[in-house]
Amino acid sequence: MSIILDHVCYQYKDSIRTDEYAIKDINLKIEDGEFIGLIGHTGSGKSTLVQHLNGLVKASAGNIYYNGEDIYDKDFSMHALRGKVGLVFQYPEHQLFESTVIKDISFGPKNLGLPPLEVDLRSYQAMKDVGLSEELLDVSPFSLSGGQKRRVAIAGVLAMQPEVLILDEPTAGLDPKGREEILQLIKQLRREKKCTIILVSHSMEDVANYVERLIVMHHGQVVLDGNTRSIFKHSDELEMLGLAAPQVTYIMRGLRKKGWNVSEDVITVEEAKKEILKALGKRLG
Amino acid sequence: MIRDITIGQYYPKESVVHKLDPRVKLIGTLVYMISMFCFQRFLGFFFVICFLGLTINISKVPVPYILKGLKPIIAILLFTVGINALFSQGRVLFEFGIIKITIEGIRKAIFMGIRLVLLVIGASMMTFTTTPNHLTDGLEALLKPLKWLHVPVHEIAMMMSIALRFIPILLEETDKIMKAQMARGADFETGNMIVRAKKLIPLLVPLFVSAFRRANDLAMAMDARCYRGGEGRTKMNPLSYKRRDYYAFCIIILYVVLLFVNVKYMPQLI
Amino acid sequence: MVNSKDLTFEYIRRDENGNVESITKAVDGVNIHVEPGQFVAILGHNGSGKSTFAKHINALLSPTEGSLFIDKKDTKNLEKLWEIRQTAGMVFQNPDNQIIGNVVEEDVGFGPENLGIETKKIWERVQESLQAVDMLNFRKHSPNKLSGGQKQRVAIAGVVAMKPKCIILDEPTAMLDPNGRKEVMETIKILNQQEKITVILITHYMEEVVNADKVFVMNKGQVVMEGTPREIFSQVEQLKEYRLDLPQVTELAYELQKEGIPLTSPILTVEELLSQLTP
Repeated sequence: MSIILDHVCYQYKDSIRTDEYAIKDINLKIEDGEFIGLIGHTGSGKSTLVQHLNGLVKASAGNIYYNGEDIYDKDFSMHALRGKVGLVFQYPEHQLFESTVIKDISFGPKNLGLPPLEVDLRSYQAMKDVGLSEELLDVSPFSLSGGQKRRVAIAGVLAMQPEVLILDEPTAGLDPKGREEILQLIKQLRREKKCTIILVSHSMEDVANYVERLIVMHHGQVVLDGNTRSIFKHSDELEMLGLAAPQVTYIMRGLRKKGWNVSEDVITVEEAKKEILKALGKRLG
Repeated sequence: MIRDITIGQYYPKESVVHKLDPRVKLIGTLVYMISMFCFQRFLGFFFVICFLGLTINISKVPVPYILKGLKPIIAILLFTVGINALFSQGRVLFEFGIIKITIEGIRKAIFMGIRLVLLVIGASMMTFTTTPNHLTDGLEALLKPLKWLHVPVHEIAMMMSIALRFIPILLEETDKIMKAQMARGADFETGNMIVRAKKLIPLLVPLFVSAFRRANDLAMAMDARCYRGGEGRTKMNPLSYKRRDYYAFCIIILYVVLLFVNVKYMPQLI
Repeated sequence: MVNSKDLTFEYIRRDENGNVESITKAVDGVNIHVEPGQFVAILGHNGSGKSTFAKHINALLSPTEGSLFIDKKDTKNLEKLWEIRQTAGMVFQNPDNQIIGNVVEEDVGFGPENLGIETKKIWERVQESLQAVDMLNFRKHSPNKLSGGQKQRVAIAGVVAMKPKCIILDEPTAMLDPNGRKEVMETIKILNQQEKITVILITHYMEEVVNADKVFVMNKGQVVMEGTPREIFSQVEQLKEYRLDLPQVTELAYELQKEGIPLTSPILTVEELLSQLTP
């Protein structure tokens, strides 16, 4: 299973200037089970790109294939695609509308036309998956805390049991505690559900610890794409794009400049510590 | 998408029209609109278009941008033209079953179409060239006499100004929530009226919640910036008529006179 | 400048009949003292009471118990309300929901208009304030077309135009991307250093408090730590307990120290660590 984007472009309709693209000539292959970070600052086109993947936005040029099927084909069911590619929007708690948590979560599976029992099963499962306790089942989602609301919203997408889960800035506006909890949750979902996950973010430090592949966007184009570690080696380029690499990569680079024999392939504090201790050990002994 | 609606938006530019006193523009627009209903002949449009063209030319607002603003009214436009074309009495041009197209009908349809387009362009010229704050200042000043009747003129003006500020934001938000619900399999497009109205709940509830949250935030921000109603408040742009405003009044009067002369004394050519 | 004494604020939730259902102490016996011209940061995660405290400084809330003086004016004194709000201006989290004007300069003029300042002076202030936040080029723009960072700078200009002695910023960067955050932080620094405005920054980003003169950490409505950034950042274990995340470099230095590497703690910047590791 895979998603292939072939020369995908998107232009805002009614745009007076013809050379203005929200995204331009995107060629990507997303394999089954990948854990991807999609990085870029505001306006880089990352949100527009992910909205193509479930057909919310239709490309002005180019093709998208889901499992080999052209999604713009007449016979292709967009409705089914939306169930398979789950998209959690930025600030997803703003779309909650039902009177109880469980009703809100079951909105997605209901729309898929599943039998009531299946809808209930999936909704309970999703609620459990995001770590919401059963006591909240019949509580109004509007009375929950910010972090809890976000969980309900994520559960609402999870309940459709998508094959691909896309989260657009899932940590925006949360404090460090909430941020970490949500990222941990995503990591755990990845472990348990084994689905493809695309994490859209502008925070390198947030995603560095989690994702395996990074796609960096700028001005509507993909500028870097590869294994997470290899991407952070381009720290100069990242900086030019207004994206900073994690602080530790700068430390390692600084040390290398001063003649230390440390790897630049470091993204977490733990790894940096090991590298420095190793280098120091060599120096002393 | 929705955010492309340009009607009612301010188009920043340095021009004499932009600098005119909003009262002049309000009166001008009112006169312009009323004038449109004072003639039944195509020749009348000549003066209207001259007047409008002059204004657009001086205002430096690009014509394509103005025409883009017509998009949302296309449906109403077609409806008006259609109704007039189909249901007018007169010399029958051709018949098709119960549908009769008459010469008078076509004439009327074209007339109404042009009138509607000119009305909308005229009204939007005012919003293109006047910041909403200016506009409300103007309204506030013109409606001041109503204060004697205990109408809260300042408050109404402030409310209008805030509404205008938040319309684009709420439109964008509508777009976003709609997409978010569609990502959860919602379908806003099929079904009859009642089914569709029901389907709007997942859109409307979050929209209202958001609007209230914003209202709450904004009220607090206004409090924090010492807003306490119209009393003791000074104006950043106090209204005072300048020479250009008197010139503008002269042009408006000239326009009315020309149109009047045309309607009254010119031979019935067209 | 700001002086709070045992400030306590309770949210009282009532049921339909007006009977008290529950009482939550959002702020609990807070003593915070801020000198004129200082750059003070208040840290804490959501629900720690930091925003509730901030709203007291602007007299948007009034203490349940204890007292708060702004520039020697008691916030409980309703007659001084407008004076207090003018002395201590406030910038909020969501940039969209605090811009009232439809054009940048009209928004900046909103505050001075409310204060009843004469027209000519308003324009001078608008000019100066927009210059101070480096947004003069955008004065005729619509706020809707600006980036998040730019909107937030407009909001700051709107407060600066009221000539406050003190500005409180309630998580001004929480909704911004890294570029926007940088812009806003630089603007705040300039206001503090060049315009000599007292700054109280409420945030949960540790990196933003590195340059502060003083840091308060709040948890469950109480001030639990207080000191210079260096003093605060040296207590790594405690900060972790309050679920605040340290800058990576501080954490790395702390870990290295635990392994017996001689470093003078705490280390706040990459340069500091590099110069200590490679003398």
